[in-house]
Amino acid sequence: MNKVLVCSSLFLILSVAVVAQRNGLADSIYFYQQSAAEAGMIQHNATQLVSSPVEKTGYASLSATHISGGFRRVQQAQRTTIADFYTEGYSTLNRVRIAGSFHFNKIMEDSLAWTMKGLEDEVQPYYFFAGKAGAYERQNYNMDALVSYEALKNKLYVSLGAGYNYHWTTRSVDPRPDVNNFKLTLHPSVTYQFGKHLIGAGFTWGYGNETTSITYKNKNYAGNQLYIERNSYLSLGYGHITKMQGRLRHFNDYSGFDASYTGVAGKIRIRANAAYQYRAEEMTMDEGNSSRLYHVYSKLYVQDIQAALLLSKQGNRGNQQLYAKVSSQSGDNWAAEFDGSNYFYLCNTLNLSYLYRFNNGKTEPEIGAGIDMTDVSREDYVEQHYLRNTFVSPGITASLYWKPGKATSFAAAFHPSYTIPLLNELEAPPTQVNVFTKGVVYSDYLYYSYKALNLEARLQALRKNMFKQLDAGMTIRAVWTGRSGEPDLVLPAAYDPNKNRLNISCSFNLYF
Amino acid sequence: MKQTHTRLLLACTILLLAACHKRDAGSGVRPVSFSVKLSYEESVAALGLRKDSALVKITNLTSGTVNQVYSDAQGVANFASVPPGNYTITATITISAERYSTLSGAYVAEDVVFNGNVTGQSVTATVSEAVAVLTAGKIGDWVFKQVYYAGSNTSRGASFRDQFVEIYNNSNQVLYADSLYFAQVYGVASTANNAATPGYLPSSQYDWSKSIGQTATRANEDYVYVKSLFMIPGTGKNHPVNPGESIIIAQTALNHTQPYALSGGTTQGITDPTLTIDLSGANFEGYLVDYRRSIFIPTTSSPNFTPYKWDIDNPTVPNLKVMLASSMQDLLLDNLGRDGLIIFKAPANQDPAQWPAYPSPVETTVTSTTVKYPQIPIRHIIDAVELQRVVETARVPKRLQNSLDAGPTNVSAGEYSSQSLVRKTARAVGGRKILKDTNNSANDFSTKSKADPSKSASSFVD
Repeated sequence: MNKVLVCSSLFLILSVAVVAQRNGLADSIYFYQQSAAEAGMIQHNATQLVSSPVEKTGYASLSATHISGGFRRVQQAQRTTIADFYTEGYSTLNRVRIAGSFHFNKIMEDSLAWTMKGLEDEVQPYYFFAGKAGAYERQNYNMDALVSYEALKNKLYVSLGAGYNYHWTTRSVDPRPDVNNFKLTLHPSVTYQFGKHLIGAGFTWGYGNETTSITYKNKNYAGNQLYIERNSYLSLGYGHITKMQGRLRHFNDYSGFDASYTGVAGKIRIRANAAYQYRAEEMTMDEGNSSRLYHVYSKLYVQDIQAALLLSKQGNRGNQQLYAKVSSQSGDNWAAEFDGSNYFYLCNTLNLSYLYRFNNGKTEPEIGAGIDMTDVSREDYVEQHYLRNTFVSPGITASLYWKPGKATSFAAAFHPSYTIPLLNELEAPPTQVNVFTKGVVYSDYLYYSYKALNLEARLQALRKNMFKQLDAGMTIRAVWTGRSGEPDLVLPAAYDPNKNRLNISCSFNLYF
Repeated sequence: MKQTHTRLLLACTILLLAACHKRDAGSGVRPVSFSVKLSYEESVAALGLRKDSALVKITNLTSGTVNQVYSDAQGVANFASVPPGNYTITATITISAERYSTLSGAYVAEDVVFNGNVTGQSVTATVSEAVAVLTAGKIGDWVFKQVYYAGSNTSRGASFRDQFVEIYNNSNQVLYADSLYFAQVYGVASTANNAATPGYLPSSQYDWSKSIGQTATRANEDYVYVKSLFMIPGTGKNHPVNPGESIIIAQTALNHTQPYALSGGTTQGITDPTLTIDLSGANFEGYLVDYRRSIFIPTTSSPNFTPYKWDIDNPTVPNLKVMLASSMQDLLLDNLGRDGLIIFKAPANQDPAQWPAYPSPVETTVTSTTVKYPQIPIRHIIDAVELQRVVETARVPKRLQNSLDAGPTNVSAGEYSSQSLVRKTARAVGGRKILKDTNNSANDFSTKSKADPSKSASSFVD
């Protein structure tokens, strides 16, 4: 089943890529930050896709990323190396518009402790963890495709989207997790056009599953209190834990709906998306070595709401863009142990940015400002653990696009920002303190207590027709984050985030 | 057009506000207050023994979190906020010898320790109180001094092969080990909740009153049922043990720090001798080959008896008399700690081999191959130790009565750690060490980082 899906999707994506070749616009679309943001919205939404004035475009990217440094959350690796391959594109065939993307990466992590999760799913409370740090290896295959058919000329479009994700994680230190995660979603939608305006609606249906097995190569470590850091625990909330190993299965059902709009008002192109997704997840624990004998351990209910608005205005003197995105994710559970809920998670985010690029011939400067805000809270009722963090990151952007000749383009961008904690609330009564409290909760509190200076720099080069008729380019991006300030509490945390962290990546890009 | 934009933004805002609303916390499961009420066993309930300052501990069987408080004058221990769940409750209080003598009218030389233990206590919003009955067990002359059940590293050490128990003369007189019985108590060895299953008690332990043929009226209270039964041979005065001295019963009385020949002709090697011990100086050993041969029933697949290759006989060390060894090839203690050990002596005119024996309470029919577990009256038991697994969530139902052992215990590092349990020294009298015996192993024993069969001063813990 999986192979059929992979092959079908690859075929679809490659078809898009081939059809999208020799357009000549791709380099400029992905070169400028403003147009790249617009392309990002178009790629994954049927209403935005059919409204695109560009009939075909696409690119492929091969990149390497290295992340290291001590200013991190306790459930992040000290060092991470990622090899990525990503391609996306869309094209038009008569009354059909088709889009697709494929992403594969291999992630090597070192010195990661306190979580044996596969995917980084912040809302997920049910995962194994151990205090022992170790090296992880992960692989991700993500692909999606979107086909839109113009049923009524300039009036009605019917579309079908599909997404497939596969993830695998393991590590080489006891206790050893083996995580396999799979997800398939379908997304039918309709778009109605009236004049310059398009409005669309769709719904999402999907399912997935994940199996996590915890084993010990050296049986002497299992449950041995001489090696307490190797004890395997299962998180049951945010503070409620149990010592456990074995096999935990997650079964997910996804449903949701979305609405989107795009249109032109005066000189402003408006693109807006809003989506709601509901995830119902059931966890079962195998009894013994057989998957036929199991019991339902718990359930998790997750709601995601996202809305994004992109306003773009092209003028003679310059191009402006305003981007706003709000999201809210909440989750709660049902635990068989209590026949009730003991966990609640809520994360609200706001991203706001403004860019202005001066049309100035060969040299185009761009300036901008933005602010990101996050408010995240996690609560475990039975253990009376509560952690809420609110922080804001205002920043500015300065970029320069330079085209010394017809075939060559360069871009440089610098984006400093400063993260300021606004609210840090922690509750963990002394009678309820356990290894998770010291290992994760206290460490998270410290991380979010620090102010941080973030410096991001990006260099980009592009050359037309580098390979026959293909445009190609390179991008180097570096993000440095440095800790500043001191936390307002001294806590016996397993990990105190220190110094700084550097994320540097280099990619080679081909534009179709 | 402006109206369209406004409506769209309004809809998004409403959706977000709905999501951002913090959930009504009242729908979640909340910590509860819980109290433990102490009462004394019936025989001493009227004495007016004090109930304050008893140390009460509750252990959450999911998270393993331990909370402890002292009881008030009414004998109530209050825990203001604990997560709902299942708990093990232990309570212990010491009454001074003088006070006890005064109140009871019977002279006692030692302080009297009362213990209480409740396992699998459910704590919910509606179940907020439990009663723990405090009992004082019999203080014996023989006591388990050292229990080495954990074994050593499975690949670099001797794994399960180097287990032993050390039995100590805690009295001031010479005792004779002849006809002293050592046994392992049979009980449920899984964590499954069997409370509602026929043949089980609410604690999920076996309900022996449901055994086929059971005649005892207090089958669960006055007896234990054993899966193994060994006797030290002797005619009565062959094995004297002086006050403050001990005997060692080994699974296999060999030097495990060196390679030795197995019964199949192969050699048992040792990678790291420092992890294991020399048991060649043990006083007795369990050798089950002859017993296994005597009960062997040929089958098509196994027509011939094959001796267990690790059950080696050291001819210089006397063997225990094997009276029962159900489902075991050697004198095996459970490395994980799911065991209850007892020593007892039968009255002069009685033979434990003739005592009643019953099938497991879950058996619905009895055939010629059904195992019957001898019924041992607890009044004959001199000392008992209940072991438990290290990991709280893996602990199995308690199998010994509180009067025998109110507090199961374990070595701190768990299985295959080379660690042993050693009974603490209460005091020394003229060079003789008197070991602590309050019938609560959790209080009486501590972990020794490496088992020590030397019987020397180093084998004691203070």
